[in-house]
Amino acid sequence: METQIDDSVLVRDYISGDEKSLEILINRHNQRVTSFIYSKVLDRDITEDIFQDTFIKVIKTLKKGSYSEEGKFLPWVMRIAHNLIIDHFRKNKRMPMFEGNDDFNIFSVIGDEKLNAEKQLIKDQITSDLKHLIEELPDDQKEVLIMRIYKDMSFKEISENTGVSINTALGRMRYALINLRKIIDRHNIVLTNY
Amino acid sequence: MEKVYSKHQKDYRVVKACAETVQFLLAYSRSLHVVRYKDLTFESILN
Repeated sequence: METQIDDSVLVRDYISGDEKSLEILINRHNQRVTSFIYSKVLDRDITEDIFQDTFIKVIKTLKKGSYSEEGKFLPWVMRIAHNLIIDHFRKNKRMPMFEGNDDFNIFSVIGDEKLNAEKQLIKDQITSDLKHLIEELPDDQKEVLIMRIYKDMSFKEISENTGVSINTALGRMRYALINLRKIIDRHNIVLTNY
Repeated sequence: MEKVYSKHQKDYRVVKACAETVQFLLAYSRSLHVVRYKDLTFESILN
């Protein structure tokens, strides 16, 4: 008949450097701890994660020599697992996880509108180049273009602010765009993000 | 009488962590070294 070594002896041996003792302890309590975690989270993958985190804590505590509950190894492990289960639910409450399935993919409904790093760099470069090009325009055209494009003012507001008629403001905007295109063509400048 | 039972009763089942997880923990344990210096404790993972 096989005699079972007590948990407290295995813990003591493990602390003394016998790694085999840990293997016996994990295998001995694997089923009870895993079943306990699974009964709470009802997810196989999360159960594995919590089981792993539980024993990582066990290993760290034992190696640091902070363990002081000799003879109560399993209840101590269960308490660590219990605390990690609570942490898991707290974290999930703050950040609920949504899993799609074959019929419905969440990314078909929502998307990330942000540009990736490369496109953002190109966009910044274009914005910077365009500012330099605008500086090349005559002052009256530059003024109208800046008010219209960057300050989002209407031509009525522009005419009131510059003291010219709406038609003149429209004409200056038109010439500003024509001149910008000419500068771009003349210098073979490429302003595109795609 | 049936109301006294948890609604998750049917989900209770015996499961075990997979062998890979156990092997990871054993490897982690072998690689983890704790060094104490005065009141300080240092953890190092040596593969």
